[in-house]
Amino acid sequence: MTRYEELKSHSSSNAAGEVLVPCMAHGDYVCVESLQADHLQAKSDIKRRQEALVAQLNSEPAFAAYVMALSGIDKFFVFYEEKYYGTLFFYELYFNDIDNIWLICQTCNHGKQDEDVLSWFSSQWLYGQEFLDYLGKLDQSSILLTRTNDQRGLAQIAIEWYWNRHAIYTCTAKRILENITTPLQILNHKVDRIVGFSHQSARAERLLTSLSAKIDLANAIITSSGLGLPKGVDESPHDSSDSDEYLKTENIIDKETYQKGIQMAVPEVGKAMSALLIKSILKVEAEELIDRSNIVDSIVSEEQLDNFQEPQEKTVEVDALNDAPSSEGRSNKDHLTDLNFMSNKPFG
Amino acid sequence: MFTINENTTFSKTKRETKKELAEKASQDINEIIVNYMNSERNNILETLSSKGITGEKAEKVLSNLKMELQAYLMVEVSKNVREL
Repeated sequence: MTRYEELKSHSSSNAAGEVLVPCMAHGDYVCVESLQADHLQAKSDIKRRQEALVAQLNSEPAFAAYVMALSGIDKFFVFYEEKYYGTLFFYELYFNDIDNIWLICQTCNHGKQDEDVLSWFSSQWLYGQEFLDYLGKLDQSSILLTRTNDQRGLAQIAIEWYWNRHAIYTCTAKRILENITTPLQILNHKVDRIVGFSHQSARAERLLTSLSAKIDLANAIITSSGLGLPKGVDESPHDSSDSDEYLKTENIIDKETYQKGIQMAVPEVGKAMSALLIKSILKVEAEELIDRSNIVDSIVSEEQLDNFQEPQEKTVEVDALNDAPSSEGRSNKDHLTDLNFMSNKPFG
Repeated sequence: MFTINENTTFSKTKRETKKELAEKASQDINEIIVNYMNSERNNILETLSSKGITGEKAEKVLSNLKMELQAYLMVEVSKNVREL
């Protein structure tokens, strides 16, 4: 499976139909066009090591004689006018080593640049010291490319870590994108089309209210239901983005301990009662908001919206609109009548 | 006041596995919450009513509150057990 195929199986799309895939460096979904092949071990570092090897061949005849006697070595080095040179194949083979390449977004790639890979990993929230510990001791005997002791490439291990460690975060990001972000983009698009053409302020106001309600709802959902986003100060101190499920099983060591744990927790729950009650009320309010916004959506059908798209000139007088027939044989006056009819419907 | 109901029975089986203990802890937590919600139902409904929340909406709030309490208590127990 290629690097892109790995990502494609987790792809989604935005309101404009653009394909989005997760960036494994920062974890959010980005346009597939913005992905770049990044050399985890900096290309300048690889090139520096390759040039050092060629320089070694030229400075130590005994070493050069040993290396040039190896089978198939003529693909890698040539001897021309009393000097050794690396071939194009030599430079490209290591430069394009698949185990050192992964696909990340342009912004992350630009930020990473030629930074030392271990120092870069340690500053990333998806990796950090925990990943460096997982990586284990690196094989220092490797001349050209940094590898682990079991001869696996850095990109290979980073990708494995990402999918194993942050699967829940990636699924959550995808759910938020598909269920909240993209519907909001579509709704926003509808609002733009209505406001841009019809000048029906009452209708525009309703649609904007609907948009605002959905944003409030999205905020309510994100802040209250523990979707696996980065933890707030009042949440569990467990520092990965994984579920806390294992804490509920692995750390319960005996019956007395968990009974004591429950007894200690009960008074705390009593203190939090007011906040939990308010949170419960807010959730019900949020559900009502989305019901109301769905009613607005159901009033404004896609078919009706399509009738109003692509205005010829926004400054045209209403009188002129009244007489201009549309391509479907309906005059724009008919459409405006529809709008007036819709705006008189009771809201909610 | 939020207290453990005297009728709550903790699991007494010996030699449970960690997973079994966790499942029983979950059952105990559920029982604590159910008992609490039964005893405090009228008080909560009264509080909600004073804020203008009645009928079906109040029932939804109660249902949400039960889930919130369960989740909160579970997290608190996990934290405590980790520290013990």
